[in-house]
Amino acid sequence: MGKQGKITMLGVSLVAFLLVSAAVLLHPVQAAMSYKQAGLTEQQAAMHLLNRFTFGPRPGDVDKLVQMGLENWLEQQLKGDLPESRLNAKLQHYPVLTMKTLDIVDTYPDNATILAEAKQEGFISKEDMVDPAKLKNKIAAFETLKGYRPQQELMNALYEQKLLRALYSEQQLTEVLTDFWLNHFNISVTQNRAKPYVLAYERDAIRPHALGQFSSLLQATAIHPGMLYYLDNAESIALQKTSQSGVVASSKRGGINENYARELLELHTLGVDGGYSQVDVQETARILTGWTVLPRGNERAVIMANHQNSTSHDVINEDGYWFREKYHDAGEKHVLGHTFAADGPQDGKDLLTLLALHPATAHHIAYQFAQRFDSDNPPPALVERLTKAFMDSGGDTKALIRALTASKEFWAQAKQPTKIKNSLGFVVSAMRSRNAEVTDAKGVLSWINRMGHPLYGCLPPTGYPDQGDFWLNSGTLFTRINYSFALAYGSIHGVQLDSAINLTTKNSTGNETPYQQGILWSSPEFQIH
Amino acid sequence: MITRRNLLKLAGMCCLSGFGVLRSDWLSFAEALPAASGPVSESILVVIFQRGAMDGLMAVAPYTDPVLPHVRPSLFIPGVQQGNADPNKMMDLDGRFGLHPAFAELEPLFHTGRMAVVHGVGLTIPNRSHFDAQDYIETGVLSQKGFPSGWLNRVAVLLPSSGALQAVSLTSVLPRSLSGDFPAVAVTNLAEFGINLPASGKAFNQTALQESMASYAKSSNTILRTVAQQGFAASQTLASAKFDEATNGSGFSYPKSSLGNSLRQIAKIIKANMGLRIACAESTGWDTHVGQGTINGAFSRPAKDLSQAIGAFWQDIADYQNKVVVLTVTEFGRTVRENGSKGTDHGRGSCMFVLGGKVNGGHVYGTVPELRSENLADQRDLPVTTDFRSVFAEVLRGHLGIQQLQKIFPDNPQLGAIHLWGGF
Repeated sequence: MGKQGKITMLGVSLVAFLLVSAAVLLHPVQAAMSYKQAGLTEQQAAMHLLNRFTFGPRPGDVDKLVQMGLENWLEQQLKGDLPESRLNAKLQHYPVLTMKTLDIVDTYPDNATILAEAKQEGFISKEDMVDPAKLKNKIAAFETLKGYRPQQELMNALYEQKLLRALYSEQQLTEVLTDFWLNHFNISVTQNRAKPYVLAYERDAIRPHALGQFSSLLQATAIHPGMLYYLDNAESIALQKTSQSGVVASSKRGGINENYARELLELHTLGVDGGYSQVDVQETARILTGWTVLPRGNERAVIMANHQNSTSHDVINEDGYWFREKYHDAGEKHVLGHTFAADGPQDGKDLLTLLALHPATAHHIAYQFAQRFDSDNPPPALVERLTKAFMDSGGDTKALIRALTASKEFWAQAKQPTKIKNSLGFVVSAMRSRNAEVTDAKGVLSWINRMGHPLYGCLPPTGYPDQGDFWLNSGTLFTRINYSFALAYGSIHGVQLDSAINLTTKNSTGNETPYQQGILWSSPEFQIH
Repeated sequence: MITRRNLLKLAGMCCLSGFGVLRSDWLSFAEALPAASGPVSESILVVIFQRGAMDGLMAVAPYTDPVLPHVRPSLFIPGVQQGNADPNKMMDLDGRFGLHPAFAELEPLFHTGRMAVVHGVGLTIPNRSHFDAQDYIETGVLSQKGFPSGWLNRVAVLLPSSGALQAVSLTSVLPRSLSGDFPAVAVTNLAEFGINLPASGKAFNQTALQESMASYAKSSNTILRTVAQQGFAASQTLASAKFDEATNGSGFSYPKSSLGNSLRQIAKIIKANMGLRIACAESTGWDTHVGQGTINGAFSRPAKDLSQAIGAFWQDIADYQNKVVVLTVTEFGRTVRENGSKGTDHGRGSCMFVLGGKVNGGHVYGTVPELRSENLADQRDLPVTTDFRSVFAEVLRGHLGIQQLQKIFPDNPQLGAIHLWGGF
């Protein structure tokens, strides 16, 4: 559950633990990989695993997998405890990556917040406001005084660490699944209030659970300020403690905001055809009223101080989640035929537990998973097996991966892969194939942006669709081709290719020219994995 | 074919039989007309999708409705401008509806009769999911979820071939509406649409192009093969285009936004006469759950952007106005009542703008009841009184001269008459 502070989700964790234990007892067999039955050599199977579960094979990776055994490699990746010396050496240049969530938010306010605060504290006068040069100096002085840093620095760290992890992490499976789950529980920097929380959101609510239980992901995202802001639940306030709906919202008291409630059912769990109604959405929204976010700075300090001495049942955690009792609808609620009457945040946690293990959720997640790791239109039989694996394991991502690698459908893809790489996957796989050394990630990131799908920049809550015709169209094809040649000719700032490596088998001279390397990366075969 | 010209002839006939004929069922009446001679040559349709669901009741507000200020205490904009005197008030359209002041560039287009509003438009099936609703609208098919092709793609199939730039989307992703069998192109920047090796490899540009074309043509992957085919053909057409001072749009005040950039480039293609018939662009930021605001706020930002972009575009293509129709569409409207965060949640009916040199503009078409809760869908949303396909259908008939509507709307929906085109 990430960092919990005062929240105790012991009950939920216990339920999840029991379910997992039961699943392990019932299904002790670790399904074997079925690539031999599919007529693949170990090399071919190793290549397919690397293509689908990493950001692309590096020189020597296929041999390494064959040598250590494919099953062993996958188990090692599922365990996720490999040393990360190369990556850590890169990431140590970004101290913000290990800062506590609230310290990040306090250190990197946006410009509007800084201006408002400076005005409020009398640091900036009305006369300053009409003199741009003076205003700029005053704001700079105010930032220094307060210890504020430009928000762009936080954003650069966010984008650059993503690229560096994809390139250099040894836990490639963790990174690939972090990308998958972040996209599933999408939040984005396009929303100003969520923006400063995106780094902590991926770090604390997604990555630690990427290979774990779906219920943990769901609970962690539901209480993260990044999500509470992005889908506006932070604004959702009970109309009246026990009222029927239909009361006119007073602009002073607030009222329901059903944005998160709807996407929770539609996108995060049950799926749009998962059998819920508009009334279920409204009732879900009632359950989640009062799940909000602590304000930043001084305002928060006051609330925290009062909270220590208060008799309220408010709950606060160290990431800024705030269950605000007085805004919570404590009346009886009904979702999917279940009654929720508990006060406090418990009714919401119970609802999330119900949703996490719901059969419709299992099917929805199984489909998304198969679409990402198997094919754009996954075979229904595969989706059914993954659904069962999800249900039997209580929503364990590891069980999904094992079920997938035990399936004939997965290995059939190895013979004629149809999955088109996403923008990040394409860009990084080219770099990894030549052990690229990155000293400044900005040059590469600008290429990713030009492909039209910026990192952390998906505005709608759906996330980017995992389908080839989304990732590739005529415009992005040219960008991919031009990127390939730019990389091959060494004209991307901050990137050096390992010139000792010649990956291509096309060229008999053994001496790759940049042109031939560019042709290889821009070829139709390299767009697919 | 229904054109203004034909309708003028029709008007004579109608005098004999009375207007009742025309008012009863436009489409079936139109079908009884003599066979058309084919699509109107060179007419161009520009569709702007407003993603996120525009609040139609704020865009074109029934400001005289006594319920509105009551259910929208922090969103209601009181009063109307008199003679453009006050930019803080709604701009009156017809004594009942007012246009949000952020749409300043659209107001003169309405009052000069070039732009029409259709209100209470949306999906005739209840759906408040952004993704699903956009999909239904972009496919134009409600009887089947995830229909394989988009409505504009099927329109492109029916039009006579006009080259590689017949259907173009100025977006990073080809929208669902243009997806399908017809080779439509997605591009965000015309200048970067082609193969460009870095300086040290420039000499190999042509070789790289030839080699890439050959290898993609052989690919067994359908997406790669077709995308490449479309891309290479379109880039060659673009390379042959005569872009000059007159086509770059620099003299017009496009907003520095994604939409502004898209419409500027659409104008550029139009003015270079390269066979464009269907163009798509996107406007985002309409999902105003929080702080929707009045004159300023979350609604006004995309509204200003849309208005400025369309305003600049319309001036930019001054010589082509009679050939171009701009249509806006959004996935659904928003709750009649404001929510707890001074915003609005997902609703049903919204409104559309139809702009064109020959459109029967200056009217707010459609039905918007008084906003008492008993008149609303689920007692909360503006009811859908006009199927969005009724508007699409009139644009197809009136502007593009397409008669085979069952090929575009295989559901065969009951479409009401709006009369956006014709001699009324």
